[in-house]
Amino acid sequence: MTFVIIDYGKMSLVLAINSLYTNNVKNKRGENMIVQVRSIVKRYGNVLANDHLSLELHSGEILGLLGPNGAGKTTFLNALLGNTSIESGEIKVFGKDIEKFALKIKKDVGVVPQDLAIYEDLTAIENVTFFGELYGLSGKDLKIKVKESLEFTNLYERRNEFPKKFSGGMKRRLNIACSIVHRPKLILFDEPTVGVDPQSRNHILQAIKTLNKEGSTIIYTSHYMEEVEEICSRIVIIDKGKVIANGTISELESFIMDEQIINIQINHVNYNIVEKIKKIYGVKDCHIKNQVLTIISKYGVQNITQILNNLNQENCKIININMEKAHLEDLFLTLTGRTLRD
Amino acid sequence: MKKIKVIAYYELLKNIRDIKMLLILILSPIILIFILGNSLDSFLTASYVEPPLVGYVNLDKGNMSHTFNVFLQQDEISELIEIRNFSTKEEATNAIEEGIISSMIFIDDNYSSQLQDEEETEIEILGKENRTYVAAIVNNYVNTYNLNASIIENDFIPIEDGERYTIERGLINSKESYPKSIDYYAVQTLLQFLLLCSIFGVSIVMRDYQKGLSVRIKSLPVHKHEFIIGRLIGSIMYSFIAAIIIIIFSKYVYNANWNGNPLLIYFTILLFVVISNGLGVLLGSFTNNYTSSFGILALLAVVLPASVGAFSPKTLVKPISFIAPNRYALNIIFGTIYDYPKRLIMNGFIGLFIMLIIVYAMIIFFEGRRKYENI
Repeated sequence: MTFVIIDYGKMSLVLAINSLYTNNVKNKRGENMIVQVRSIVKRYGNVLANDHLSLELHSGEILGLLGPNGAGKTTFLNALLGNTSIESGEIKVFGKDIEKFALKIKKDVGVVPQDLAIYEDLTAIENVTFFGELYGLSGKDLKIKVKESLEFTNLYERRNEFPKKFSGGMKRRLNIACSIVHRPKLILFDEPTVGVDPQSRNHILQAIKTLNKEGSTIIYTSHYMEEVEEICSRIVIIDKGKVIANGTISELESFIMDEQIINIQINHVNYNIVEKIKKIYGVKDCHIKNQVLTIISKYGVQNITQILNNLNQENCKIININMEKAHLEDLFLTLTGRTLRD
Repeated sequence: MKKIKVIAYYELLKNIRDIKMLLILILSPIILIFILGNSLDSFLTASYVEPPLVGYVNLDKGNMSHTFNVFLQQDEISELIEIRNFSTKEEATNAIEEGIISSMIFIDDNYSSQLQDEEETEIEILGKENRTYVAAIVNNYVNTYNLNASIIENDFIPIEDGERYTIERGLINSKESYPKSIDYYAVQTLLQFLLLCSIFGVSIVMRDYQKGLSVRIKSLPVHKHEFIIGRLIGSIMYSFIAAIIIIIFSKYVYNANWNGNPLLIYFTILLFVVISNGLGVLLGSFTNNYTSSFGILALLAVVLPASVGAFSPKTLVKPISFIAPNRYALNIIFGTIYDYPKRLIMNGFIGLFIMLIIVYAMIIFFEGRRKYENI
């Protein structure tokens, strides 16, 4: 077992990396390595979108890339495909340098963009055929794979219809069909469930699991922890262009298992109270937003009376109080003081 | 090459299915040609009951009035007015007084000499009845004459004493044909709308309005130049097909005159749409912004055709006509229909080829420097 320490400001996250993963990293021939990203830097003006970001992905994994809006997830995916230039660092996909072999690499990669990427003036089958041909498919092979993709996404029966007649969920499925027609080894899903109803969302998540079982390695970006928990074998959390956590779900959970979250709604905001509460024994952090105090406290420490006393002394009237054990969703809060959807 | 063919095919398919674009590019010029080309004729038809008897006095001994005689002898005109010749103005005036004729057309004896001296001259219309009606017919002739003169002036043929006469005779008399309003506006309006095909070119190099599509396209194993060339070919094909439809419609429905060398006409149209689509690509590459590109295009689509008389033969923006591809295409198309001197047709081709080379050389320069991530 190997431990990896990731520094994030004043906090440190220690993760246990399982032995299988360690063995893969050590594979010098890189056979099992799908993606190797080393310390990439990408800047948009003065904004650092990717700040010495490093990441590795192995064959068969579903990697959840988690982070709030503007964390640098999409920039990372663009850099991974060579669609955006990087200032420094190195990116290898399938063991090949993306800068030198972009076109060759792209043949084996499928991208499901966050926004719909289908032509409304082409029928479902024409959309899939068009992208299939551009991925280099032709003849019988093209026909078979187009049919399989449409069947996989339950759209074959409606293949001759135009997407403008489709529901939002069906359009999302067509979006996926266009990305997987060429049976890619690596599929990048960039927040594919944004604005999707729960039924279609479940369908998409199931499809991703099936694709993974059929041999595709997957990178799935989201800012919904519950989605990532459901399908991903490993989670990487990005904030401000940096990796702030990297590990399996159980590894990340172990980091926050001794924490509890206390939410107290008060009648008026008093910023002195935040500093006072932070000094109470067992309290790890305290934030206030919209008249709700969020306190991260060590689990099992009996400090709630002291917290309430402090609030009384500051003449804060308590409207509501809620205590719960920390979930994986709260990990981001623990690390950054913000929630994923702030 | 296979990918370029695929992209071109689907680009064409998408454009054909775009109803809004179909309306703008095909239906609008068809309607506009009808309105511009028939506004005068419809006035004539509306007033027509039976051909009124109109007196005609031509005191001019020169050759210039001969074209007007030819005009009056046309079958179409004799269906509208019945001409009775008189030798003097007094004779005709008496006939009006006696109610034999309703009105008269009078040409003075210095008509040809004034025209040859590049002075204004008049065709006078007198009478009690049908004056406006007769004036409309005469105006049709005068406008046509001025249009032809304007076209020739646009080609910078040195106009010296007498030369205007030679050209005028060459244009109108050799075939004894002249462009009617519908003929003239069929060509002008077609070229004006084909210039609008630059819109396709702009969208080719601009970030797709559907953000997701831009991401997907850049993620495909396709070179940037393959994508641009493929889409460009698709758009050019669509513009060309649209042009053929407009030509066929205006020829068989509006009876517009397209009776020149068809190969020459269609080749010119193809060259023109290659240039107009390329112009859009260039504009898109240069501005990298939809709003700016469309703004500039809207301006060009009015100013450039206006400079070659698409709205009126008399135009203030004539000096900039040398940068209008319309000018060169008009030379060739009118040239083959109305037997312009070969030199003019050749000038048209040289002009179009020079524009083609300049536009595409600039595209290669700007697109070569542009990063794929900005598309």
